[in-house]
Formats: sequence, C-alpha cells, structure tokens
Amino acid sequence: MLKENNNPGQDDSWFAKEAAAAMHDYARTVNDAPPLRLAAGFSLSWPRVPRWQAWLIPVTVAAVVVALAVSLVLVRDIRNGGVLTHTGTTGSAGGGTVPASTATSSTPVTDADSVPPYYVAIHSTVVKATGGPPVLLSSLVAGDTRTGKEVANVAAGPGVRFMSVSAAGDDRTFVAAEQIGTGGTAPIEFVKIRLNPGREQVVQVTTLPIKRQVFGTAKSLRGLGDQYNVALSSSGTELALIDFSDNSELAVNVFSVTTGKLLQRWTTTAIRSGNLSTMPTLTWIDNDRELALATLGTPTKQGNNYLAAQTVRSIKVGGSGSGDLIADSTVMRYLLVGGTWGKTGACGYELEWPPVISADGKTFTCTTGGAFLTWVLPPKVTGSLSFGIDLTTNPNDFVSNVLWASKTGSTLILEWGVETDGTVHYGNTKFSQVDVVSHVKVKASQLRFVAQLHFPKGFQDGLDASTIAW
Amino acid sequence: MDTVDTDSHVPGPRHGSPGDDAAHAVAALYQAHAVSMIRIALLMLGDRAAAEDVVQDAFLGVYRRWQRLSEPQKAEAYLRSAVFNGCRDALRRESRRTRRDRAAADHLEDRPSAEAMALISEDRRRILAGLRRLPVRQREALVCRYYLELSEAETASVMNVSAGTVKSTTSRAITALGHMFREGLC
Repeated sequence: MLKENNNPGQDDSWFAKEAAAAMHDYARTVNDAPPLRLAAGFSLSWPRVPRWQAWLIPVTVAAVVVALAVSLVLVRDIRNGGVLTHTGTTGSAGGGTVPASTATSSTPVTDADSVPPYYVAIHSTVVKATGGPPVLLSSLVAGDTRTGKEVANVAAGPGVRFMSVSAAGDDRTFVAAEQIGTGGTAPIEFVKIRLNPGREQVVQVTTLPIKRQVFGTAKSLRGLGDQYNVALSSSGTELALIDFSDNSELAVNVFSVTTGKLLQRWTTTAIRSGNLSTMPTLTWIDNDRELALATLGTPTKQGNNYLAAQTVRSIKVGGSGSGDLIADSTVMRYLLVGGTWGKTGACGYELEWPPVISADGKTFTCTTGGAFLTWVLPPKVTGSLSFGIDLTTNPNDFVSNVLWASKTGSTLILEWGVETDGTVHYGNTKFSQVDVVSHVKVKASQLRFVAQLHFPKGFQDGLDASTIAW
Repeated sequence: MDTVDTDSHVPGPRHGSPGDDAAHAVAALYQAHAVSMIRIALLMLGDRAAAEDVVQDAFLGVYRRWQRLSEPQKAEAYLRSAVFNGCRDALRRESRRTRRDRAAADHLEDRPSAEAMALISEDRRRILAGLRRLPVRQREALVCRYYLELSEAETASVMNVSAGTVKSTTSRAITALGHMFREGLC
C-alpha cells in the first residue's frame, strides 16, 4: 500500500534538509567506539567516548580537491565586436523561454557592457604526496580575460583557505574572504587584492583592518549556498557581509575597507533560516547607494508545482535608518519560482542560487538546472519572467551558472555544460563552455553569444558568482 | 577531553611493526575520530557492526602506513577517505550476496539501534530507509554534502569525481529520495 504524501512543503529542498537532519539524528545514535585493535592480540583499551556535542564533530575539510580553476579566456577584442559563431542559441522577448536555434548576431557590445579585462578566481588544488594524505592548496588566480594568461597568483598561507571573492567597479580592486583554519567556528579575515598590470609589482595583497569575523553561517542552510559571500562596493570602499545563524537574527553589516570600522548594521528576526532554502546574498546597486538582499524561501506546493518565494529587498545605505532591516528596506522584486527542477523555465532554487543582480539594480538573472537563462526586469514587483533562453534540447543533462552580469545586465558570463555518463564535460567545447552572452535588452534577434571563454585542460567546474569575480 | 591509558596494553616494538610512537599516535587519533568515523560508516552501510569493522580497518591502515605519512596531521583526511573506500568495498561485497541474505541483513540492520531509532521521527526513518536504497555514489554524495557539510569541491575530492558530477549526483539523489518517499517506497 502506498503511503500518501500530503505535505505541500515536501519538495527537493525539504528532502535535502530532512536528509541532513535524518543523517544527523541517525549518526547521533553512535556515541562510543569499541576498543581499537591494531593487530591480532594487540588492542588498546578504550573508555567509552562521552556524548559529543554537535560542534565537536569534525567538519573539517580533509581530503579536498578541487576544482575551481580558471584561467581562460579569449575574447577576441570584445570592444570591437569580435563575435564567435555559436550554434544553438537564440532568445525571445515577451516572457517564457524558447528553444535553441542557430541564430547569431553581430551587434557590437557597448563599452558599458564589455567584459572587464581582469578576473580573480579562487583556485584550489590537491597535491598528493607519495604515501601521504592529500594536501589542499588554496590560491587566488588573477587572469587576463582577453588573453587567458595568468596575471598573478596569490597563495594562501598554511591552514588558510580562500572562501569567496568580490570585485570593485574598477576591475583592479578585489576583496577575498579567507578562513583561518577549518570548521564552522574558524574565523574569517579579509584581504584586498590590488592588480597593477604592467607594473613591476603586479599584485598587492593587504589584510583589511576589519577584525576577524566568526559570523553565523546558518548551518541548516549549509551546503546549499555559499556561506561566506562578500560584497565589495563598486567604489571599493565598503564591504557588506551577512551574519545569519540558525534560530537567530539575520544581520547585514557594512564595514569600511579603509578603517575596518562597522559603518552600518541592520537586523531582523522576521527572516528565519527555517523559512529559507539557502543563504541570502548581497549585491551593491544604484552606485553604492543601496544593497540588494536576495532571499529564497522554502518551496510550497501549489497544484502540481512546487513554488518558492524569491524576494529581493533594497536597503538604503548611508541614511539614518532604524537598524531594522525590514523597516529600512523595500521589496524591489518578489517572484515565485520553481516548479519541477529544470522543467518550468522559472528560476531554479538551491543549486542555481544565487541570482546575479546587475549593478543598476534593474535586472535579475538566474538559471535552472534545465538550462533556462532568464532576465527579470523591473519595475514589475511581481509577475512572470521577462526573458528566457533554452540553451539545450536536453535540459535534464544540463548544468549552468551565471558568473557575472554587466552594469546593465545585458551582457553576461555564463558557465554551462552538458553532462554525459555522469560527467560534466567542462573544457570540452563539444559539450560545455563559459560564454559571454549579450541579449541587448530583450530583443530576441539581438541575443548572441559574444565569445567563448577557454579553460585549461583539467579544469573542473564549481565556479559560481562568489568564487570568480570581474 | 578524556585520555586513554594505553600503558598496560601497548606492546613493545615488534619486528616489522610501526612501534610505540605510531601506536600512541593512532590511539590518539582513534580517541579523537573513531566516533565520527563510525557515524560516517553507519550512514553509508546502515549497519553498526559493519561500520565498526570498516573503521577498525581504516585505523589499522593508518597504523601500518604511519611511518610513510608525510603529514601525519592530515591523517584525518586520510582516514575519512579510507572509511569511504572501505564502505564501498563492503557494499560491493554485500551486493554479491544472495537476495535472501540481503533481506536478512536488511532485517538485522534496524535491530541494534531500534531504541535509538525510536527517537527519530517517522519521516526521517523513511528517509533513512530511502538513503539505504540509493546507489552507493548517490549515498556518498549525500553524506558528504549534507552530513559532513563538505563543499562540492571537497566532495569531489573525496569521491574522486568532478564537482559537476557531485552536483548532478546530489540532485539526482535528492530527487530519487523524494520519489521513493512520495511513492511509499521507503
């Protein structure tokens, strides 16, 4: 006899959370270990291990490998409209998504929407010493978007690991969050990376005076979004962070990059981790006058669809606010997203989080596992999607991420790949690529792939908007 | 933290054995990580006794290789990999059993922890049952991502696959779990 599922909240995100909770519940049934026997007739007696608290469970990063490479690139002179042909593109205005075709366009990309010439990405690799355990090496790689050449490489110190990176508007100033040690309570500090291409000292690295943060990371949401997103203002003078612990208030902090001083702080208990699918994200918009706070709710069932509320709030920065996040912010975008994963053309949730919000605050770009790329444009606060592209005819075997959006949101850098045999074929142009695309507002005929960014052999995916910045 | 009195149990150096230093070091490791490793193995295998066996083997492997560990401080990472490898081997062995044997094993799985399991909600017990029905790699992905809270890249390292594969495997595992749950298959 079948068991009926009548709970409207039981969607994939619910199962992810419940699976995590169930595993922790089950794991906690083990509170001791038998004596260790290293050889026949040779045992070490062992007292019963006391009941461990959850925070003692080593969540350390051990054997880690990875991923995140990045070097790349190409772009044959984007400013002059160098266009690479691309099969399987196209778009449509007026909402919804359209299937791929073979259209390309030679519409030049304007300077305002050109891809910045330099990027900084987190690169992690594992060195396997002979007979020893693997060792994680974490570094920041600065690269030239046009040539694909590495500009600089900044290695993390022993026991330090870069977690996220954010760029200022000048494309020369970046801030990275680095974790000192491992585990949820390991402090985070921030370093500024200043690129000086062509000069003797190509890169300058400075630890910011912001005191080390042990901020909340809403463990119930961990694994579903980056916990250490940082948002550097376009001017490069302010750094915004989210502090969000389970069963606690959500706080948005703005620090001075120059002095390290906490400039502003907003809090609320109205946004609860239990009601969200993943960590909120921050984006500076409107010439650094506002912060966009994007949150993604847990899905609920409506008819045959599972929908989640995606809300973008704008918070005025620099004013004399009350400090209450809700009172000092306004909803600039509210969207019910979701449905069956990869099927509806709406923004996906969890795996495709976060969306990328353009610096002018007027576009909101997201993807789904099913390959739909969408732009949602104000001033509509609610409503359906404004624009979408179907990049593949096989959406179930597709992964994608939006990595960067231009100031107006009309040019994007998108990572996408087709999976076959359980492997995502990044670095193989037959199956996958990172592209610069431009839709030039919402005119379908002008949608085009501007250029494909190349990756070195061995590149693995894992990039998202918090691990590479332009 | 509790300490371990090993004086009366640790033998002197033996011919061909790593010796006291290794024994004490591995004993300390065991004290620190045995429970967490058994928990991982339990999630993978659903069987406490088998989980303890896998963990014993993993520590024995570390003990035997102790002198060749270039960075003993990284032993935890090595141990975790060894536990996952041991679980894969154990599950492969299990898959070769006859159907009857497997059914018997499934029946036995719940018995040792029945009291503890009673404290787990019905929904979560069903999810755990579904977890045990998932393919090994999907189960491993869920344990890494949602129990150990490893990143995609870290999980990729443990599973020796690409981060993209981790992403898709995790998604499929959750989808499969949901399907089994909704259809009453777990």
